[in-house]
Amino acid sequence: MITFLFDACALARRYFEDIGTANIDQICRYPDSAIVIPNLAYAETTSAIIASYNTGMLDEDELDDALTLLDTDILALRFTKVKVDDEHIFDAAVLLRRHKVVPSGQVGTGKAGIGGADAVYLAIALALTREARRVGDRLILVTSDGALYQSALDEPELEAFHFWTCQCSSCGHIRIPIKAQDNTCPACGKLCQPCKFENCDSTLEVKSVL
Amino acid sequence: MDAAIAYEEQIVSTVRRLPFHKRLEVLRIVQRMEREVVEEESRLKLPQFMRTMIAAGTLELSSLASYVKADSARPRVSLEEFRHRLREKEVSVPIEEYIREERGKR
Repeated sequence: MITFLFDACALARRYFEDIGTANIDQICRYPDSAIVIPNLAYAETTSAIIASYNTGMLDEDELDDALTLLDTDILALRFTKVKVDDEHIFDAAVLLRRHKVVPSGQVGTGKAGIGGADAVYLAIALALTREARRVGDRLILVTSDGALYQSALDEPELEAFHFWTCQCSSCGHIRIPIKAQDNTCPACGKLCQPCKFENCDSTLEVKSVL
Repeated sequence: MDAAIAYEEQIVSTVRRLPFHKRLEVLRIVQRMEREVVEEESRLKLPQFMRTMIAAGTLELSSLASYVKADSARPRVSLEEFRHRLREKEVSVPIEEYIREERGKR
């Protein structure tokens, strides 16, 4: 059994199609798996949905529908909601000291962008992973947040999946694309111009990379 | 773990001070709550390692769902219909950017 831990980006991406939605859908349909959502993601996702309304992306009905769909997922037994507790917050602070501090003279590690909320997801993922590995289980943190993903990769115990990961439809090369920019496949030169949902023909089967 | 023990001691000491019939009432409430928790946990698809953590007091499930009213969470449209409507409208909501913006502001 694989346990997937969704951050708010992964949860929110269920409702609004974009690159990566197909991967999230595959994970939600993944056989013999559990999906864990920290309670913090509910507030973050609600805020992002309201921000979409405030910037004119959604009308009132759509705002209401999106919030209702989120509530439906919170009620669904398919998603296990876990409580963020003091230990997670403390561990998050320790992780921030490890990942966010930029050593003098070395700027732009990509992880300096990690914030408090990201670190909380990281802390929960680590706590769950340690127990999972003890009994031979796996936990995979699912996110599209660059700083969180990079920080997760730097934790040797942790497995992470960037849900924008795509597979070139021409040659099968797997990579994490740069969204909204022209992307050239480094293996065969196929151009995605630009990388966006409407142009996406990724053939990625999430199962093949996990 | 220590916090869980402290709670337990507080509860035991409070219950012991109650009159006998009240203690029985508390017992019945606890038994009912235990049944509810066991039922809910058995319906959840929880990996064994998480069950172990919950039993050890190192992980707590969120009771967030109990605050969400089942009536208000009855969607008028399905997830697929909702996505379809936005597709028709040609709206691509940069939801992850909003989350990142929010995280950046903290």
